[in-house]
Amino acid sequence: MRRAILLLLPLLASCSRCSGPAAPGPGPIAPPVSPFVPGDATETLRVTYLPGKDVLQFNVQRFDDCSALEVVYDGTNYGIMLPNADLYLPADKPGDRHQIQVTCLDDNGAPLNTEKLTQVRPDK
Amino acid sequence: MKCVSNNEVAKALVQKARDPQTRHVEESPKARQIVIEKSFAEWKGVPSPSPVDPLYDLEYMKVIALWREYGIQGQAANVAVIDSGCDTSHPAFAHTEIFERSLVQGDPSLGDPDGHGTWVCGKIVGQGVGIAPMCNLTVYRTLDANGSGTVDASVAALNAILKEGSANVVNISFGSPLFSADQEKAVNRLVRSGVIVCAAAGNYGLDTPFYPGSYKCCLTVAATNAAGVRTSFSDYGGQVDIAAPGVACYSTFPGGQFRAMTGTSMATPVVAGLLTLGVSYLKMVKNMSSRTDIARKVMSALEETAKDVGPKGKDSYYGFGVIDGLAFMQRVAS
Repeated sequence: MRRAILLLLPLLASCSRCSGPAAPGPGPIAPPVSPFVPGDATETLRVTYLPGKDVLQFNVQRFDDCSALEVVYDGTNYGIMLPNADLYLPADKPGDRHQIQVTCLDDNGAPLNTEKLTQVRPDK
Repeated sequence: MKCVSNNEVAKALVQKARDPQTRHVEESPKARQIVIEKSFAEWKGVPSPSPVDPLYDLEYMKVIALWREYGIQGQAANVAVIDSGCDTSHPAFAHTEIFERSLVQGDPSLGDPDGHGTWVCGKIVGQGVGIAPMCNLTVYRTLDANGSGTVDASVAALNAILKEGSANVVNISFGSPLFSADQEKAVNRLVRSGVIVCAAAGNYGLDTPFYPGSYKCCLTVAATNAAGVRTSFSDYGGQVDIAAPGVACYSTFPGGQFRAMTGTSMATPVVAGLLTLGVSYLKMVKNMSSRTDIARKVMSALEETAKDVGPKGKDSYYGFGVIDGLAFMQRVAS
């Protein structure tokens, strides 16, 4: 019994969070709402610049034939998401240029078309 | 369904776990010191660039069609990952709030110094790479920076999940060839309370026990390649229940990175993610509230709709078969 207690104590002593609830992580970031102009499919995407992260939002009207989008940002594949999803990206600096490739996918994940664009963060 | 009790038993188990008078002193001090050493033989085998479409696992399961047709991406479903922690600062997690707890002896720090846990979490809840990006995720860190942990820590995590009533689905992508009665009891209690525990089959390529996957109540996952064929590294035997893609699967890694990884560690959250979508549908659309009823429904659907690609019926290599995302959700919704 004493040995069991001795073995148990180090576990409890180090387990400072065992008795309490799990701690939340950084949490979701809600970007400012910046709706695209209804009926206007010319604008492809918008970027919102937040502390520590950029948020990329797609103009759903431009991608209304797409079941989902696959996004490659500066050569990194950020995966598959619904067109109305917000894509969070690492923060950049004013003047940074980025290559964004957006592939329109069907329900099976097959590519329908791909759009490539360059996005430059404004200086201000 | 494996090991599931009725609702009354489930409630009693959770209540007992919350009772401060319940003793949690281990019965076998020696067993508590068993170190899970081999957990990362699973994934350190092949961090692999691959000619395969990196997101073939999502496409294989028709995840896009599931999201659109059934209108769910995991909302209201609760998932627990027991692993090396999670780098919750990764951009792929910025859309959600992941709860973390460390149960590593001598190291209460959060985050993920190893990377394995971050990969697993991403496959379930990561934006762009996860199957159920809108589910609620709690991470219990039991593996240290070297990818090692103790049975004690895993038991503590399982008991915490039971006590908190925080999960519909649990993912355990590690294990050991060593049996632990305490760990088995903890798994059994959790499953009888209505929680699905998904565990990796192991990467020895042998007909050999690998725990917790080899406990009867676990849903044990083998790995297939992009063609749906069982991999040579995937353990086999009577403990295998289901198979899923596990070769060069793409997910999050600490430091804002993404990696393709291979192993039954990778296949397990694929199954956990699909089950999470099923749970989400039953809660959100069918308004089901009983955890045990939900677990029975999704487990039956998973087993009955798996593609029986091996020897007919449940076999040692694929279990009930390879998961079929569309057929699974159709059965859940029926």
